[in-house]
This record gives sequence, structure tokens and C-alpha cells, in this order.
Amino acid sequence: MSGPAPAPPPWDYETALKHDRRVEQIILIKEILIIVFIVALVILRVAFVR
Amino acid sequence: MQILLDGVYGVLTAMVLAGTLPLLASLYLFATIGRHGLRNHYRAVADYAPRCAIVVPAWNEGAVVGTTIDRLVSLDYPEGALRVYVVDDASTDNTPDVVQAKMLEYPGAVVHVRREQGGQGKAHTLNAGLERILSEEFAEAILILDADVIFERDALRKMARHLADPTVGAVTAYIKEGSQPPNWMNRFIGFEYITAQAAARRAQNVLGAMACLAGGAQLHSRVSLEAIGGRIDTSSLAEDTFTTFMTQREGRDAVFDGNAVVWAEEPTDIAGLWKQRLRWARGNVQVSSRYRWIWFRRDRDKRLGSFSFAILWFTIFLMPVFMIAAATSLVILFFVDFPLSWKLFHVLWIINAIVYLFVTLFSFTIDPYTARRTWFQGIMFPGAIALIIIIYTCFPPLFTVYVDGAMRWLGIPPGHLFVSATILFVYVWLAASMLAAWAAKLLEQRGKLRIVSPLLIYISGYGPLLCAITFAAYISEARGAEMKWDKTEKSGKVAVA
Repeated sequence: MSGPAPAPPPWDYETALKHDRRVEQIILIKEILIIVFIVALVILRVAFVR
Repeated sequence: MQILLDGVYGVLTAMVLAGTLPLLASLYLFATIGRHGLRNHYRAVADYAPRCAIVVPAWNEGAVVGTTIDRLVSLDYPEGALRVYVVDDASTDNTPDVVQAKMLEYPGAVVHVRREQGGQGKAHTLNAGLERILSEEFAEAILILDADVIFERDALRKMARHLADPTVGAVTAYIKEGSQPPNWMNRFIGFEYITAQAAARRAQNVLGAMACLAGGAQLHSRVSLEAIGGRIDTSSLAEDTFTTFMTQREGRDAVFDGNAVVWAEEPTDIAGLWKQRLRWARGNVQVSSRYRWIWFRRDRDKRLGSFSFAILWFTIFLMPVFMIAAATSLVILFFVDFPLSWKLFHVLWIINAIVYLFVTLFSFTIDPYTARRTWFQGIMFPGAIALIIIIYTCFPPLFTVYVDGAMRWLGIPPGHLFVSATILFVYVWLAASMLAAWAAKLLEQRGKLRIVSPLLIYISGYGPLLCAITFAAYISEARGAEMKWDKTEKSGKVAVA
């Protein structure tokens, strides 16, 4: 069954704000993980590649 | 004599190490982004939707302006609080007819401002619209955009909420490359916009100084716009940057909201990109000169005069100079002190490798949708040759074992001359990559050879192409070239994801 696309949800200030804050916090977590990953790579490189 | 020689070596070493400055600045910029999760402007926003006048500069935008108006009028915004002012810059196509039809379709929500003499540039067009808007009482905020951009339904709401804070003068959104289907150039630009907008502008939020409000999506409070004279600067090619600087110089913040998304159609070939970016880069030369009295002077401007902002600005602005200086110094050291040159080469490229890995991986995670569209161009951003050099500096055994074997298999004697030539080539590549990117632009204009130019960009890199354009901007400004508004051609193939 196909029909018209559902109407987008109306603007909800609180929900949007909560979502956007979470996006920013997730970016912070991703940054920390990537830094840890790169530091681990550098350590491995120094330890094993001559 | 020895002192003189030591001095020369010291200068050459410093010039090579200066080549790491843009890299370290990028590292600092990207390392700052995460702090945006803790330090952002969301703490000061409110459910605020000021009456908003939207200025749409339009010159021969008949193909896209109707859709733009439809989308703007149907934005998620309180009824009666939006008015679209299309400033028709003496269009010679059907733009006036399209706008007139939309005025009938949306009574009171669309205004046609016609300029009978056009072609003076975007800033003049915008000023005609601003003059009209500020002569009326309606607008509490003014949204300046390009005719071809498409706002996501909640983008204006997301931008407007920041204006609830009276210390904010202007807000900009995240402009994404939205051509459907995207070609190779669109994909490079899409990835570049993650780094230059979604990433860099978050960092600028944290640092408290915005370099530039995106020309395609900037929302100003009326108070702020009136405080800077109610007009856009017309004396330069960087009106967006001047507006941003003037807003902050007046004591108000310019804020980026990376969750307010706007889609735009960007150039599809090197010539289009070159034309657009040469204008931007020349504008940056003009801004650097006009504001020369505030750089590194926090006492004169606590935002724009900060050390960190100036370093970020100049390492990008002067990147071609750093690249040429580093390459030249490495080549001179090759002949006078090879061991030193070899060590410096490794320092330079290992830093390059770390920054490349961090920036690329982090950019992919900041905007996963665009990353899926542009992952290959993201990886190839520095170019294939630079990637080979990065892999070599990180994993030399790959080359000493496999490349030696491959050369023997191909019958190439790994003699001294070949090794020396290869080393000189990689030393000079930082600067030569810009020449190769420029050659790609020339090839694009040569009939059948046109098909080779994308390949040459993948080999030389999109980053070096941008550097080559910046270098061309220095030359244009030094020669006092005419300040001509070259409009980027649009076809209306942009779509919201």
C-alpha cells in the first residue's frame, strides 16, 4: 500500500532542542573515541614498525 | 662562516617546520570541536520566532526561484510571521513572471523588489532589498540567502531561537551540497563543507569568533543589522565576511547552528569552482588587509583580535606560502644537508598523516549522511600522491620490501639516481601539487583532454586545488584585477535528502 507521504511533525521546541543538544554531545564522544583510536595506532606504529 | 651556515640551516629548518603550522592549526581547530558538546549557545536559546523578512537576491533565477519561494513560504514558522522579498536584479529571463505569479498565490507573503539596473553584484542587490525591508516596520529579523538554496522545514526556527539572546546579532546554518545526482566535484565540495562548515564553525562557536556567516543562510536581528548601517559592504568581494566582522565589531555574537540545515547546489567542474573560490579568496585578501589593525590585538577586539582566531585565519589564508616555503627549503637542504632534510621531511609528513587521519575520520562522524555520499572524495582529499607519501612515512617497510621487489620485477635498477629523483619529487610535491591542480584546470578547457582533469585532481588533490586558487587570488589582488561579480551558474538540481 502506498499513499501520500506523512506530514512532517509540527515544530516542538523542547524536542528539537533536546535532539540538537544530544547531537553535540555525541560529537564530543565520537571525538574522544577517534583520539583514543589514533593514539593507539601511533603507539602500535612506534612499537612494531621499525 | 660557520655561524652564517648555522643561521642558513636554522632558517631553512624553520621554513620546513612552518609547513606544519596549517596542519597543527587544523589539529587545534578539530580538537576544539568536541568542546561544543559542553560549550554551545543552546543554553541561551528560547522558543522565539521573530517576524522575519527573507531577502532573496535573484538574477535570472527563473529555473529555481519559484521552488525557492514555495519552500520558504511553507517553512515551519508561525503564520503571518514570514515575508519573502525577492530582489530581482534586472533579470532578463522569466524571473519577474515567476515572482509575480507567486505574489498572487501567496498574498501578503511575497514582495517583488525590481532593480532596473543590475549586474553590480550580490551586495548591491541585497542592499536594495534591505533598504525596502528596513523602511517598513514588519521585520524583527532579516534572513539573507541565495535563490537556489533549500531550507529544511525547521531550519529557520532553529536559527531564530538563538536571537532570543540579545547578545547574538546573527546566526548562520550548515549549508550542505545537495546536487542530485552529485558528480565528482559536488562530492569533493560536500566533504569540504563538513570540514569548513559543520566542523570549523562549531569550533569558532567555542572560540567565540566567527570567520564568516554562510552567504546562503544568514539570519540577522534587525537591531544588529541597523547597528552596522543597515547595508551590506559593497567595496569588496567578501561581503559575507565583512558583514560577519562588522556584526562582531559592534559587540554582538555571530553564532553557527549545525543542526539548522540548508541545501545548496555547488559547482560541477573545476572552472566553476575556480570562479567561485577565486572571488572568495580575493575577498579574504581584502578582509585581511582591511582589518590589519586588529590581527593578534586582543586589546582592540576581544573576539577577532584573539591569538587563536588570527592563527586559524592566517594559516589557511597563507597555506600556499607555507607549502611553497617548506618544499623549497627541503629541496635546498637535500643538496646541502641531506640527513637533516630527511628528518624534517619525516616530521612534516608524520604530522600530516596524523592530522589527515583525525580530520577525515572526525569529519565522517560529524555528518554521517554526507560522509556516505563523499567517503571516497574525503579519503582522496589530499590526492593520491600525498596519500602514498603519508603511507610511506608511516610504514616505510611497505616500500623498502614490496617496492624494491616490484622494481626488480619490472627490471628497473634501484640505482642512486632513481632514488635521488624520487626523494626530490616527494620533497617538492607540497608545492608541485598546486601546479598539478592548476594543470587540471587548464586540461578541463581542452576539448577531449577534459576527461583527464578529474583524474588529475584525484592524483594531485582537492586541497592543493583550493591552495592553487588562493595563490591565484594573491596574484589577482597584487595586479589590482577588476572586482567582478561572477555568478555561479545554477540548474536547480538541488534536493533535500
